[in-house]
Amino acid sequence: MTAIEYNQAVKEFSNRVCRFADKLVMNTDAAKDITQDAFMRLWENKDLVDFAKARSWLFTTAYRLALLTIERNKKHTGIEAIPTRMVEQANPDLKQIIQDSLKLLSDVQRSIILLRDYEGYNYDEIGYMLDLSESQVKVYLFRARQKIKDHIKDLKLVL
Amino acid sequence: MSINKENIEEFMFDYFEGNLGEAQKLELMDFLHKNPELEADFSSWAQSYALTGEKELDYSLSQKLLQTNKSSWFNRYKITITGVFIISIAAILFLFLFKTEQAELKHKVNHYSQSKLPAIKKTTEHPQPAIPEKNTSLTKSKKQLSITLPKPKEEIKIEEFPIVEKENSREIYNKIDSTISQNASGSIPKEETPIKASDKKETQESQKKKIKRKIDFKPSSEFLEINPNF
Repeated sequence: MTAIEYNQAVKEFSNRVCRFADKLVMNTDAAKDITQDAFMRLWENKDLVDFAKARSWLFTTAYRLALLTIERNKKHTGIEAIPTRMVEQANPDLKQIIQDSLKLLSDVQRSIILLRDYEGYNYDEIGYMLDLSESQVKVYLFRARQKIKDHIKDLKLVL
Repeated sequence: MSINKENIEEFMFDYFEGNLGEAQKLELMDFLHKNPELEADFSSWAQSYALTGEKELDYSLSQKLLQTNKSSWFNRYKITITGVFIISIAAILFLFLFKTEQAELKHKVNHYSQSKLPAIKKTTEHPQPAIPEKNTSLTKSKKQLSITLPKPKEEIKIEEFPIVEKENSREIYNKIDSTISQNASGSIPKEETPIKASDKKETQESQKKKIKRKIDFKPSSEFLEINPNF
């Protein structure tokens, strides 16, 4: 990968990678740090990474860095974040409900939902990035969707 | 596989994921029409895809992450550039020192040959040995040095030649002086045999003539040419 291609990758993927990290770690500042770290590693390994695979390489790196950040935060707080805001809101937006419901998912499920819905990756690509088989990705995705669907359904019943 | 209430969620999931064929889609729609209580689940499944295709947010990271071409070019080739620069400087210094040393050597050789060579040429004219010529300047300087070196024996012979002549003339001169002084002092040996009075006179006269002849000794013209002060 050349410097020009690297800069092109920055322009095309930096916001996407940061959003992916933001939805995973639920912290915008931490997500920016993860994104910068991922692109710094891409620059250091630009001779080894092909531009065609830069996108998946960045998301894989960001996913691993996000998992490390989540583990670090769990050690500090000791309590997993609980989505209480959604219940308190009187008439929440549907997208906001779903984004809040992402907190109910495991890290792998959340990553798969984000890569599938935001980035439009297929099962094979997601499996390559997260080191999972295609069937595993499908199972994780089904369970994640089921959780989100149940959460939306429950909220409708409450409202 | 037929649709039933146990696997309906899997079919709904595959429907929204786009994994069903046209026949399976029609089968699913028929099942939902027959079971309207499942329509709420179906709409919830549809809402779970609300995030799909959402516009990306601007985190303003691009300017921080961009790399300039100049720095990347320099970083890529900086080791090569530095190496070439050092090697070229070393090569220039080596050539400069070699040339100055060579010029000094040539200057010394020329100066020595100009001061010494004419005198040697006057005294000796020896044929130089054939030296195979090479293109290197170092062999040329050696050749010049070999030309300028004099052969001491022959030079000494030529310079000592008049000294030998002087010594010979000095010996001759001393001999003449000694004979004159001997004659003047009358130290010429006498014959022991008894000599008559007439014989004595004859011998005295003959001796006087000899002395006169010896006194009238004149050096040769060649001797005078060599020793003009004699």
